[in-house]
Amino acid sequence: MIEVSNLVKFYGDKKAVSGISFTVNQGEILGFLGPNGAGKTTTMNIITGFLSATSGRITINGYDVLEQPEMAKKNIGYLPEQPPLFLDMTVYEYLEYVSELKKVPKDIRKKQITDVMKMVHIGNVSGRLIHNLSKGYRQRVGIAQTLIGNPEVIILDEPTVGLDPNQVIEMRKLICDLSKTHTIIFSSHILSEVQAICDRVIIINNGKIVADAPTMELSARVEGSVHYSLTLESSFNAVQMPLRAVPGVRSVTLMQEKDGLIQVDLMADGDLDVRKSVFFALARINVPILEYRSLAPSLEDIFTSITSPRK
Amino acid sequence: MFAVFKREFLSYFRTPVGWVAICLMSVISGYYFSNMLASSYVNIAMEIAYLRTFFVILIPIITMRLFAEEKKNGTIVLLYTMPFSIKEAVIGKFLAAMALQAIMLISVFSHIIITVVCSGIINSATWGAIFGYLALAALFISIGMLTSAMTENQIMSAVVCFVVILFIIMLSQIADSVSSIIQAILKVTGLYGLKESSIYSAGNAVRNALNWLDPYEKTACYTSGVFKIVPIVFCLSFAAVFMYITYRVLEKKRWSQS
Repeated sequence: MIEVSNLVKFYGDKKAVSGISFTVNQGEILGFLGPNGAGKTTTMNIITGFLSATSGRITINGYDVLEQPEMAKKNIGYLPEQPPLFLDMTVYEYLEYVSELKKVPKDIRKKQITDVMKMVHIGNVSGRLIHNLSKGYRQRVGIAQTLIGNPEVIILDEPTVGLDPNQVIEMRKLICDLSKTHTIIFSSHILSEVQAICDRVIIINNGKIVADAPTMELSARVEGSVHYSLTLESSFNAVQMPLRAVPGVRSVTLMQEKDGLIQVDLMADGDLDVRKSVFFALARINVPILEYRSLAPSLEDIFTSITSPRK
Repeated sequence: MFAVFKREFLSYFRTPVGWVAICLMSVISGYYFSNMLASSYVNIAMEIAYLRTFFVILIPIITMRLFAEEKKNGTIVLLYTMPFSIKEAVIGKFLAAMALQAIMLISVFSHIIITVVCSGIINSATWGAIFGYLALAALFISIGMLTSAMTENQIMSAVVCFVVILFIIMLSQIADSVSSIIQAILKVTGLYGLKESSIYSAGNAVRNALNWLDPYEKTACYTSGVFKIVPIVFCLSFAAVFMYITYRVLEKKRWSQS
């Protein structure tokens, strides 16, 4: 379906994308994960033909993006991070404009627009100016735009950025629904989002792929370590050694020190529950625990976990 | 291409731009026409020739947003990622601006009707002047479109377009000045040891060369009822060149390394 081979993109002296290669199969939901500036958007822009690569090759359904751009683009629906919406148009006028750009035959244009609006639940706002829509609705109109022309591949660049929690949930549900009929590439810097939606995850950092694995496998690797945040009434020097001595504790980091309280970040092996041992270790030195909570693994944890040698 | 044309043309009337341009044109042409009526001498060709000087204000207004606004709002992504060529977008936007220019002549057409009703004279010079007006408009719109494609700041686009058109309007004066300066330099420095007649000829050659580039001068013949093909070819050729450069500037964005 999509084949990316040895993709390189330079911005001046900076190598934004450094020899990326991957394949996306039909019906797959691929999560593109990475911190800001990792090269996700650049890679997506190159796949969609918005940017040209310095070197490398991309084919969509066998069509080379550079050599047969029109045929390749017919198979792609793209929603950039900032949806490309004309605020002075109504939703229907906008979708009609997009369908004309995508050369949808006139006789099926109206039906297709109606179907797409129904699919993304924007039928009730079809006559409203996009300018007057909420962020969530605008994002839906952006997705509707990608579906016009019925492309096989949908590329979504951080579609949940700026949405409130309810809208994020709705958006995820919508993407899951779309995945039944489309191949989707979805970028995000939020791990939980990618885990919730995608079959497979590619992690990109500094323009390079650092991991390419099914989501379940990646989660298992991340779960190799767990993080806890503790707020203690003590000094860091007093607790550092006893905590390090607890079996399974990998590192102890001071995050904050204020008014005689310290906040400590504790990283431990995932296969060993250290919570009781930590409690007793602190009890032995009479250090009260004011707060004790486990932290979800961050993107940084994943990078650390993936790039460091496994035990 | 038709989709871009339709969107762009209608967007002139969704925003104040189209209305303001039409009103401005109506006020200016109405003022000139009423003065002619008051003096009992109506010459529509003269009115159109007068209106041509206002290209310097009107063209930047109607072209500044063509690409600059799309770049700023991020909607230009649509043009790059849709299954069609950027060339079609350039032509579509050009035709939309031309259509607006044609509609802006509605006040002139109303003046033609009034003139006919009052048994005034409408001759080939009138139609020739309209023809020359549109040819000049095509050239200036292509320039405005290029300045709009080069920036995402509409004001910057308008200012650059204004300066370029002003330069073209003043081209004959600039040609005279440059010619005089060259003659003075050759005289004072005695460079190449040229005779006075040769210095004069050199100055004249520069003046003629610059004047050759003056589209106002070229299309002036239409106002006097003389039809020539050269001014049309001149204006449309340059318009095509500027449109091609616009296309290249937009394509360059794809390959940009910044």
